[in-house]
Order: sequence, then C-alpha cells, then structure tokens
Amino acid sequence: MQINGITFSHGKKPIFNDFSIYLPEKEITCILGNSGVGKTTLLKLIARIYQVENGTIEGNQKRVSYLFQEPRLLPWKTVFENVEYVLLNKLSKAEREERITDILEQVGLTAEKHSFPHELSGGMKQRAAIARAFVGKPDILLLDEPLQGLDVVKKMEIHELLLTLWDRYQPTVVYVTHDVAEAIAVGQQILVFHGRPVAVQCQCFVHTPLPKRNAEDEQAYLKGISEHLLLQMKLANEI
Amino acid sequence: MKGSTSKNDKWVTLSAIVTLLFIWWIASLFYPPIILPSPAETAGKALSLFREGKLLGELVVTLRRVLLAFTISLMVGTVAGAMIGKTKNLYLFVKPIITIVQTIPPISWIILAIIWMGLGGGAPIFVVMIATFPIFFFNAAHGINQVSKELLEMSEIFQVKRHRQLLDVYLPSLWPFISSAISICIGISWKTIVMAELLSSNSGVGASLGLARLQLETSEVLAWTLTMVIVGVTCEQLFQMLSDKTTVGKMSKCK
Repeated sequence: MQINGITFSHGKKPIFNDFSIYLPEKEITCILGNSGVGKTTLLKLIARIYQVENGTIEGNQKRVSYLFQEPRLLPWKTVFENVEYVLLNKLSKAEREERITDILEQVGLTAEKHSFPHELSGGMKQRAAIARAFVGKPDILLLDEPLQGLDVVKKMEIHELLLTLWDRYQPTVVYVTHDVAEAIAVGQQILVFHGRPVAVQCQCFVHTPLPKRNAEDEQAYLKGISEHLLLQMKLANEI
Repeated sequence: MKGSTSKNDKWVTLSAIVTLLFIWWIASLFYPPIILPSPAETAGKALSLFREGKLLGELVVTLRRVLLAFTISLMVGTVAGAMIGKTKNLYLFVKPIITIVQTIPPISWIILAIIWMGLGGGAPIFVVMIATFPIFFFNAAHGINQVSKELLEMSEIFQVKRHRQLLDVYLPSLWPFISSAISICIGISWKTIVMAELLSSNSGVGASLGLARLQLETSEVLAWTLTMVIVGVTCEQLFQMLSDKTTVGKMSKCK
C-alpha cells in the first residue's frame, strides 16, 4: 500500500504536506509518535473518513476495518448483534451466523454472545470490538491505540489475540501507538512520526517472525531496536 | 426489596384514588345532584351510557381522531425535527416560528380552524396536530444532536448502509426523546381533542360533553370526564408498558 505525496490540513497549518510512505501488504506497520502528531488522522485518511487534498492512497481498500481506542459497541445490541451489524446487507443470514459463531469462538466470547455491552468487562468489550474488526475478513485493518486503558495482563492477552487473528486473516495492518514496547512486540515496520507538517523521523524493520516474538536469543536484538526507537522519539521531541 | 417497594407504590396510589373518591362522596352530600352528583350516580350514568352503546360509539370517534392526528404529528414532527435539527442555521431560523406556533393557545387554533374548515370539519384533528407537533419537533431536534458521533463514524468506516444506520444507531439514540414526547403528547391530545370537539363538532366525546352541559346533566358531564381520565391514563400506561418491553426501549436506557 502506497501513500503518495498526500496533503491534508485541519485548520490553517497542514498536518501532511507532500507526505509519502510505503505500507507493505499483509504486514504490520506500527506508527509511533506523540499525541496530536497526526497518527489517527492518517488512519482516518486511509479509512476515507477524511479526504486528502492532494496526492493518492493506493492499495486494496475494498474492505477496511478499524479498532478504536474505545470499543464503540452499540449499547442496545448484544455482542452477536454488534458483530453482525457490520455484515448486514453484505452476507446472507446463514453466512453471517457461521462467521460470527466462528469469530466469537476465537475471541472467547461464545458464552457472552447474548450479553449486552454494559454486562461485559473492559477486556471483553475490546474482544467484541476485535471480533467485529475481523469478521468481515478485512484487506486493511487500522488499529488506533487499541490497548489504551487496559491493565498489563489484559494487554498481553489482547496482544496475543490480535496477532493470532492477524496470522489467520493476513490483513495489511497500520497500528498506531505511543508505546515503544507495544510497537516492537507486533511491528514488522516501525515508523516514528514527528513535527507539523508530519515527517518520518525514523524507519525500522524488525525481522523476527510473528506471531511469537519471545525467543530468548532475540531479546538482545529487540532490545537494541527498542533503545534506538526511544532515542529517536526523544530526538523527535526535541526538534 | 424492589418488589416490595413496587407493591407499596401500588397501595399508595390506590389509597390516593380511594381518598379522592371519598372526598368527592362527602362533598356530594352537601350539594344537590345537579351541582355535584355522587361517585355512585356518576358511575351509574356511565354504565347506562355504556349499555345504550353511546359511550363506546363516541369514544371510538374521538379515539380515531386522536390516533390520526397523533400519528401524523409524530411522523412529521420527528422527521422534520431530526432533519432540521442537524443544520444549525436552519434550526435557528425555524425555531422561533415553531415556538410561536407552540405559544398560541389551543383555543385560538380551534376558533381559527372553525373559521377555516367550518363546523364538523377536520378542526379537532387539526388542533391536536398543531398542539403536539412542536413537542415532537423540538424533542427530535434536540435528540438528533445527542446521537453518538463515534458510533456514526464507526458505521461509516465499516461501510454500513444508511438505512441500517437509521434503524440501528439513529432510532435507538432518539428513542428516549421520542418516547418522552409521546408520553407528554398523549395527555395533551386528550385534553385538546375534547375541547375542540366541544366547540367545533357534533360527534365524539367532546360534543357529547357539550350536549350534557346544555341539558344540565351534570352526572353525564362527570361520566364523560371520568371516561376520558380512565382512557387517557390507560393509553399512557399501555405505551409505557410497550416501550419497556421493546429491546430498543429497554436498552436505550443503558447508554
């Protein structure tokens, strides 16, 4: 997926000005950067919620999916109905039921399929949102700090779940975060954004295979990248 | 605990009604029936009106009118309110006009409707529509701006069709506003229709009430009044029950 010389302004000052990056297909690109730098704006441009003023975004954007910071579930619908909501008028009832049953099993919400969001814990709500994000077999999955507000144990669980599902469906993923450890755990390409208009401060490639990245001999290598990224983020802050 | 509280509530309501009937009965002892008939005389009159078939006949005429006016007002008021409420400048332009319509007393509308439509015309329906339209309009206009932008954005990203967004996001979000407007308008409709029928029609409960007044049949006046109270309260309770039973009604409360 290629982002070619895009320009986009919000107010007077442009957020992106002739900005280009490459997002490898079926890989996970993590975008690091401080709050308000323009990470979420880029996701919304890819999702076509915002329209670019100049330039192009090229790639297979037929089925776009999004995982927000907060689950954004319909409070008046059950878990099953919330997942079904994004498939209505796209698939037959039987196909919908089969897919939803399968994805709910994978995210571990089979027993809660008839529960309403207010009956679920924070982690369960995010699992339901993950089920909704993957049920349509997306070509592109945009993740906007999806682990925000979860405790360490739940973060790890959701991480693992996201990687398992990514491995199964292989969408092109753009993962926005400001947590270096999170980026290293999932990213194959990591970009650090800074400034206004946005520029890429640094670009890193992590070559250890996904979804499992906990082999001991890789620790030193990952630690090295982590230190490099932290330094780059510090530099980006000082610029 | 909750169950016993609700049982207690029912007893308190019942004892209030019994107290009111008791005061009415005591007061009726001091006045002749032409001024204040007793509850028993009133109930007897209502029963004889029922047996003659007059009570149900006139009630159906009034109910039909209310239902027609109410439905039109609900549809037009809600759709117009939701559409106009989304555009700030258009809403600011329309708001004072609807406020003026709302401030004009129903009695003025009745007189104007009689002049425009004549006696026995659609004046009662028109007046109920005019009286309830602003309530539906303002509630929907207010409600539309409370619809979660995050849920709408989520729907857009997942390319959910517009009619599905309407049914699954807009309608449940608007429901608390629409249902509160319906509750208020049920009461207003009943009061307005009787007044409009009394002044402009020769059929319906209002017209019968007017005739009873001319014939100094106070027990009949009270019998019709009592009937309207019972039907009005029943309609409101019925709506509340139906609203609570629907998923949308239940779940829009746990936002």
